[in-house]
Amino acid sequence: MFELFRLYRISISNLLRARWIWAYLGFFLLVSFGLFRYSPTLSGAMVSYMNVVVLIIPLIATIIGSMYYYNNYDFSMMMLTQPIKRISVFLGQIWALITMLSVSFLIGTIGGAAYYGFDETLWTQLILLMVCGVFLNAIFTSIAYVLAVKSSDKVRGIGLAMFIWLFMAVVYDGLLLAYFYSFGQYPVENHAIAFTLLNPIDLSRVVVMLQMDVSALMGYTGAVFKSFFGNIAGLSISLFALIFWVLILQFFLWISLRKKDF
Amino acid sequence: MAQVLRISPNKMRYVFALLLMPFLACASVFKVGQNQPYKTIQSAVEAASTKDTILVMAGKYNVRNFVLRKQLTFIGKNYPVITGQGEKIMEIHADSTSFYGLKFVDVATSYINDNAALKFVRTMGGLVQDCKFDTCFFAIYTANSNFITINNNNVQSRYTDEASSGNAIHAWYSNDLTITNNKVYGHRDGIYLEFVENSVITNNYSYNNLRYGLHFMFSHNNVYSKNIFEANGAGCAVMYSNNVAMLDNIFRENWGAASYGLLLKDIKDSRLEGNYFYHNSVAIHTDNSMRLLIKSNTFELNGWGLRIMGSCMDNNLTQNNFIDNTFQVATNSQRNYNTYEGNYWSDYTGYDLDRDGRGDVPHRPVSLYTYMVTQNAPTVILMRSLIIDLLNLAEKVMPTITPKTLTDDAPLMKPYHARD
Repeated sequence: MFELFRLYRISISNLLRARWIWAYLGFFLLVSFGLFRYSPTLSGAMVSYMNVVVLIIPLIATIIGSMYYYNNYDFSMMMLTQPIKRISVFLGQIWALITMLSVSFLIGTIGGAAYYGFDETLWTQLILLMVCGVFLNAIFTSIAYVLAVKSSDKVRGIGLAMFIWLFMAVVYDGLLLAYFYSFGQYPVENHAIAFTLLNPIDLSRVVVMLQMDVSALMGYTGAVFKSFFGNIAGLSISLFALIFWVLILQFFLWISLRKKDF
Repeated sequence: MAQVLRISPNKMRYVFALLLMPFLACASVFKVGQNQPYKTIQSAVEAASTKDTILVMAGKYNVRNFVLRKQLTFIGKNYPVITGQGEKIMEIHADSTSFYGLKFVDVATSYINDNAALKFVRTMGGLVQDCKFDTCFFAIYTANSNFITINNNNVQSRYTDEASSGNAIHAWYSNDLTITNNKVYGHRDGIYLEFVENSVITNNYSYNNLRYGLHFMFSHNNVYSKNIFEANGAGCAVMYSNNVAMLDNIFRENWGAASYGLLLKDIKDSRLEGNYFYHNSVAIHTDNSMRLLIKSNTFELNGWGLRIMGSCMDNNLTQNNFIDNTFQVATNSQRNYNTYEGNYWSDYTGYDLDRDGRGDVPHRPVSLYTYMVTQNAPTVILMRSLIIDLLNLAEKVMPTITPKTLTDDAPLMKPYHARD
């Protein structure tokens, strides 16, 4: 445990020196400031920012996750020659990466939105969005890491991770659409809730959007969703779904690290 | 000349009587108040004769279940409070009565009777002006009464439940009403009209009502203008009426899952002009409407701009501004029997090479996603998903699914008559 923490600290200080992490922070600072400063309406700014968060965070986390693994490969190899558990080496790195990405995102968001000042509804939605953002960071970095560990070919690793992102962000919703059309004669609202819970990107989007006033446009479906996601029980289930994603990925990472012949 | 003026003494009698006429007709004033000849309104009414004036001084008066059968004028000084003590206040059976400057309070909710502060029953003429109404079940109620003027009143209540609350201004089988400059809020419906014709509803401010700001059914040939309908539970509903003119009204902040800015059902040969719809969940929902002229209205930041059902035909939309609505125009039919021409669409991406102010490329107001949502409701859960943007783009480049004839062939490049 101690060596894990120490490697975590080393990776953090390593990441602090990386220029792109500051660029990442700057990006969120700029986007949130720009949206909350220049959007004609608060809800419009919130919707746009949510769009950015649920698309950009998984994408960046996927790319950076794979890149970080491959770039640090030599360092990891050297570490593995030491009497250190391999799980500590890699978990230290990935957790440091998740921490740094999340912290940059949080600082950027809070810094930009702070311009708007205190507004209860805004900050409730924003806190929810930030929680989702942190989880998306953790989930997609882990996915990228697992795939990178599994494939020693860099192109293959990044390609697979990108495919997962594309699947979660676009293809999944397309399949959902096809499902809605195939079973349009049946009450599919409850199925839709289940399918939403399975995809962290959809889940984040829906949970945040139901807190906004656009949820009034969703009619009956929105009402069904709101009765599920709108209360503490539904939010807890969503949170558990996200936590489950993180845990299962850590488990996969552990398995593939154990199996891997370096 | 002297010849002309010579009137026989016999005829002189009539002339004299004629000259005296105004003095005979002059009504007397009955003062009601603590230090006045009459202590109660009821006793003053009893003493008064037709066309007299009852002057009510400031104070508190109990009037319960009172039936007025004389043509009188009531004038309140400094808003005397007339309380119904949990009953209805006054039922008016006389023509041309007037009420000025009174305050009516405390009319009880009833599930059997339409208890009202002022209820006009089968009267011709009548005026309620500068009055205040507070916590009345129904405030002003006209039944089978014509030529009633309701002007500059303040009607408020604090109901929380639709079933146990009444309407602020309620008209039933009444024609030629004038309802102007009233402020109504906290009731079930702000203004409710049923079987009302040839009436003018102008400059009213109806807000925070539980159900509709304005609700009318089977009411033909009416004009609604310059009213503001704001934050009502379900917006405004206009149903089963012909030849209605709705001009320069403002519908704003009617937001909720079952809320409309304006709900049009079975409206024919009517005119909507110069209205402003701001931030309603549905600006206009129209079903089975025919021959409407929808002109120079502005739809801004609504959830749905215009939701027009397949049963609508021969409607004409022109010079409207559709600005940043989540769904600009929605329809559930692949066919289109309405004309859209010369409107401004904020999402229009065409160009104007000849610089005549009209875009050269036709605009399709119904996006693929809007069409999908009206066809298949659960798809709404994919709102703001990336795939939706991609599909919309694909459909825009090569339209196959959205109604083919629903196009604006000459969209405006700049908003028409931008409102401040």
